[in-house]
Amino acid sequence: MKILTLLVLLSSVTVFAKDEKNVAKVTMLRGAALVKNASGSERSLKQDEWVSEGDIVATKDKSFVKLTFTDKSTMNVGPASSITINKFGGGEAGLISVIQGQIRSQVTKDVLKQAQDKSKLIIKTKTAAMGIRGTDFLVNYSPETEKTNLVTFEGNVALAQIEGNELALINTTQLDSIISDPARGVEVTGGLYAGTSPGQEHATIPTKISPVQFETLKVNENLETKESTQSSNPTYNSIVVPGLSAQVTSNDNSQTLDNQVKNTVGSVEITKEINLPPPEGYVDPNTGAQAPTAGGFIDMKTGHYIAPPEGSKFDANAGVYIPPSTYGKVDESGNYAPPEGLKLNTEGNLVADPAAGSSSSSNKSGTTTGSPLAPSPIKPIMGATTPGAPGGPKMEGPGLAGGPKPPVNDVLGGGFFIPGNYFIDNRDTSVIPNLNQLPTTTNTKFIISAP
Amino acid sequence: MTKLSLVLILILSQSSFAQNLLPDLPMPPEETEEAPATPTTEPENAEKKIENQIKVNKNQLIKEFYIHFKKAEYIASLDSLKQLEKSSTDEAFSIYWQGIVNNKLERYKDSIEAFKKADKMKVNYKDMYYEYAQALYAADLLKPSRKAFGKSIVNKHKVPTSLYYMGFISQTLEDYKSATNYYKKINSLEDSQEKKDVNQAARMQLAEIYVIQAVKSKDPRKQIKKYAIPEFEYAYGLDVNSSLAPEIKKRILDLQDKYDLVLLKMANGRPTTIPRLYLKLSQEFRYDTNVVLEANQVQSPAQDKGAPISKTEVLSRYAFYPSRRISLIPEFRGNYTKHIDSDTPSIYQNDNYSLTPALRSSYEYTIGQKMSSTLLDFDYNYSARDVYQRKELNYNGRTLTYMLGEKLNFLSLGETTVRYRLKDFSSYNETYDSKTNSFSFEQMLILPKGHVMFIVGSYDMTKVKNESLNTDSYLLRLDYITPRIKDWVTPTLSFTTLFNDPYNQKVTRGLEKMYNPGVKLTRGFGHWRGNLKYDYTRNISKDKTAYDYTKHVYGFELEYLF
Repeated sequence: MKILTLLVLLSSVTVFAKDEKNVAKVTMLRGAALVKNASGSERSLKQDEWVSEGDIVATKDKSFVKLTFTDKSTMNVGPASSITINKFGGGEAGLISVIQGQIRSQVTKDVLKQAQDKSKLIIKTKTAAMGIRGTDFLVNYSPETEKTNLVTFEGNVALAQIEGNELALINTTQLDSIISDPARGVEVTGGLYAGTSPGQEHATIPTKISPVQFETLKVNENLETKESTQSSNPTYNSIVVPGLSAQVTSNDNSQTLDNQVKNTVGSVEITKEINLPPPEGYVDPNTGAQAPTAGGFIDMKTGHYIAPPEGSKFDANAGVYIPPSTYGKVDESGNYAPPEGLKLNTEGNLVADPAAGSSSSSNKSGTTTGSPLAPSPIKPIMGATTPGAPGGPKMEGPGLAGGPKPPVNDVLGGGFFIPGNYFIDNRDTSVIPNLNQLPTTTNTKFIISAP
Repeated sequence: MTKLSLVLILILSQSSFAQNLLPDLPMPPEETEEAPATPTTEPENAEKKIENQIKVNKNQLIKEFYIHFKKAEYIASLDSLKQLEKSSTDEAFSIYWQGIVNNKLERYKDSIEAFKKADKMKVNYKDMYYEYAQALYAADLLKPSRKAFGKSIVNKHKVPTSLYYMGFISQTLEDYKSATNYYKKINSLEDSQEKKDVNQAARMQLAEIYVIQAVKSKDPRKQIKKYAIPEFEYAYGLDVNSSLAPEIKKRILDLQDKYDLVLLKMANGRPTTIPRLYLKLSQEFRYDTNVVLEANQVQSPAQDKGAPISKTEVLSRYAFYPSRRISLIPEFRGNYTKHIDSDTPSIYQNDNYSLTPALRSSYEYTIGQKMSSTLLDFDYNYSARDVYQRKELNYNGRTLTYMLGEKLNFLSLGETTVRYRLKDFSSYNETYDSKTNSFSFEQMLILPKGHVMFIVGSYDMTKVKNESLNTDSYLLRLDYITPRIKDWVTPTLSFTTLFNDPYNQKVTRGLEKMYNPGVKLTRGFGHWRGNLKYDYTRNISKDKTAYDYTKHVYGFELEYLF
């Protein structure tokens, strides 16, 4: 009996050991982090310690963990973040769920070569699934807003919105088929951003974020939190003066540079970007998928994308709009920092930050920043319009300040607007002759036109 | 440069920034070539080698900067420029581009410093002062900014935009005289896309200056009417399709309203018609599977013959507002209908034209604080038709119509209109002369999500000289408009039902019933509008040979609204 008991005990230990397969080692740790295994026990994570399939790794504020997986891929878990390693290794694609916060991953090129047509690793949040085919990317997920943001630095990551029953999927083959479906997945190549939000049908069309944020995030591989060295955010006049479009005020000096460099050092090859949506944003008429205005900031706390507002200047070299300083800045970690005295709430509005001790402030552009501020007034281009056609955003100023709204009239004259943006022309009213022997009656013709 | 300093630079370049160089970048051939083998002394050779090395490093840094800049990696590009500044004998490139990059990073104070330095070094890239001026403007250094924009104009770089900035800065500084001059200068420049993009805004700003000056004058209303409004209208006319045009128009309306220059709302709040003139041309092609008499005819036997039809129409009206309570709208409508099948007399007899001048008027007031109107209309219609089937249009008849109506707002869902109408028809054949008394009720229902329903009910009593043709009719019509489908087309569904009682022919015709469902798809393209139409009519009569018929009408109509 004793032998039998021992045998059962040994076999159970073997099975347990098999379930607790070590998949990644902590190769760097800053601050404090915890690991919780599948059985529910929790412990502090230490340098050089192994984590296993089923483990939840969670970091505290201003902390981060670098995990090096058995295939030499690395994953940095940023401050106040937690992930679950659902599956890794064993010939199948790995699966990692981001519960909160951000991860930065660098997948080795050798590993990717093994399966070029399939995702080597799948990363899942509550609203998105991502198939990793690239080498360097960042994923951010906010549980408060359920928004997922993906920034690809190098290579290619496929992103798809997931919902309903798909949220519970852990079968990587099924998840990969969702991601690979051209009707649902978008390819986010190096240099671009895309995101998902609850309630949307599609991931956003990949576009560029603020070049400063992109560059700072790219450099900050360890997702370190760095305090800003600048004491306050200086506010400047918008150089997009009232009346002029951002494109008109923009000075495209890339040709000057091309010539100067060519004359000095000869020609230098630069890979040209193709198939980018127009910087003003874009709405795909077939799928309804949207590309936000290019050049905005990603707020890592709320997951909101803060699109450049009216008055943003246009950077022809980067092909993006640059939000004015009154909309905040990027700190040295690459995170979005709202203007002084304000914070971004979960609805995506800039509101007074009680912690900052300031209820309201005013800046040079005349924007009162104490009240909620809608962050994206640039109108995206509808698919029917030729991309790149519009003149860009404008800003109201002293000269062009709009007075009270005009009465609800239209160039077409006497009619009225009804909800849904229709204009009913009720002037085309006339007595029609005895049509089909009808007695004389009034026939008000409805003429509908866009206002 | 001394040998010692060259050596120091070489050491620095190799130790600090050389580590950051991109090793896999292809080197331009001329830079990798060895120095020519001329007989020199040893120290001279060393000096040349150092110089070559510096040149190579400088070029690599320029390349590095270029790649970063093109990728919009501005922070990294700035690092390259700073290293270049330390190492290079040609600082101009580095300083100038530091200014540019700092502008892109919105670090305007740094860019001002860089441009200031470049200015002292007499660096004069064509666009430098433009960028410098923008940085100064951003930092609220308005007068230096204006001066720098002036230098940009001397460099012939972005002249219209620079003039606009100078005008705008002067306007901000309340130096209206200078602002006016700068704005006006734009108009005298050679035509270019940039001038087109800027000029309209400049003229609008000019109009704004006139407003400021008018407000300070003794008679603002007169000054605004005489100077500001015409300037705004001139600005608007420069490009009516621009993104600024609606803003200008809005401003004109705002000023006209504020200074009582034009009536925008009636005394009861009902919006007036803007613009006052309405003009529409339309051309319709339709196919009617069963042509029946279309012109002003009381008699209409079923034909059972199909034909394609062309109809051209013009409609115009002009709204006068003698007071805030009264509107007078003269109107003219003319149309010409031609049946393409010209071989069948019973078809081409329907070719016709009609001319209908009318005068519509209303008196506006409120009942229980809700908009109400009393309506009084007079219409005169003259029609000609191929009454004798001779392929010529002859007098067919004329109609005088008087209408008295009342428009009320007792339902929150939409307006209600009741009308009494008296119609006096004189035919080419006096036995068809008739008088019709008509009562109608119209109800607009504005439903949620952009759906609209329009209901018309009417009771008509027609007395014809040939009394056997007298009729009493009851009509109910519903129009249902749905929101645009995918922002592309607006469908309208309609259904008409009519009960016609030819009481003096009741034995042979009975109580006739007509059902007429229809659908129309409307799509607007700026001033153009296209309508695709289909109508089905079923008229049920006891007289199967003459009055019982079915027909389908398929049509396409193109309208142009001026």
